[in-house]
Amino acid sequence: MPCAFIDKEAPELFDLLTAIFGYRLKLAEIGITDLFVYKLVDYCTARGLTNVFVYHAKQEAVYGADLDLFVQQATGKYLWFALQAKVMNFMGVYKDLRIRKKNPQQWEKLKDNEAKHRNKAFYLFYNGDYPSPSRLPAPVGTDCRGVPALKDYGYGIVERLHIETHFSGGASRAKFTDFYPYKMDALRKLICCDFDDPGGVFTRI
Amino acid sequence: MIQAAFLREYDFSEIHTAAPYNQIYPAVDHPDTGVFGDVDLGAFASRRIVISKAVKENYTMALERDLYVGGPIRYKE
Repeated sequence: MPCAFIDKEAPELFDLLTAIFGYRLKLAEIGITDLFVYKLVDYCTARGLTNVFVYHAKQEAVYGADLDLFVQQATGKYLWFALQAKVMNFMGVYKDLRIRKKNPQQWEKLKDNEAKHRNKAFYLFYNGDYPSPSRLPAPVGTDCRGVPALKDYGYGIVERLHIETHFSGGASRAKFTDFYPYKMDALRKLICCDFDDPGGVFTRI
Repeated sequence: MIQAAFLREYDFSEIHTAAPYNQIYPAVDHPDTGVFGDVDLGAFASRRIVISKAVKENYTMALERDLYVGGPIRYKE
């Protein structure tokens, strides 16, 4: 199941980045995204899963987000989550997430996409622990499976709106603790929870 | 801050798409052929992952309605 996949992968990425940060080194975001896709395909192939499809763009340069995730809900229908990936550095900063001189900003493009396709955009953050020894607070957020462990935030998600609010408030950069623990969820929330589960993804009217 | 957005519920046929994407998994012999949905839908991200889950047998909610995101999905502040 993809839910078991993310349960395994999130702590592995968290540990990998933590080890890399220990040497004050970094890992490129595009490489992590490719590794995530590879590992998912390998996981599904080994288990012969028939409930997962993976597509890759023929021309990557023209796209606005990194990953479109369609997850089936209890209705049998699919919700669309547009994910924009960013990786933490050894200082806990997402260096590539900042205000650009040229408008529109990335989160504004994602907002336009939300309106056009009626999807939901998130920033997908690749996280590890820093500095050593760790001083990060314990997780407080919850989802349909309870409170995630810190390592489950190896793949963390933050709503586009929170990013927009962060920068419209005058921030010049973004770091892990700007969003964690109160505004960041583990990616498992999108994969493992339905929108109408208790502690699920959305509220509904 | 209150965020309002109506989400669309997609059918599988709409998101199982050909160009501009190649199907990577399950592997196909001829990725540019076969039965596909709306090829123009959401050519937005460089990668697309579709995850199907078991449909709950006792699900009773009407299918034809909008989903409403009434606020941030956080539960504890």
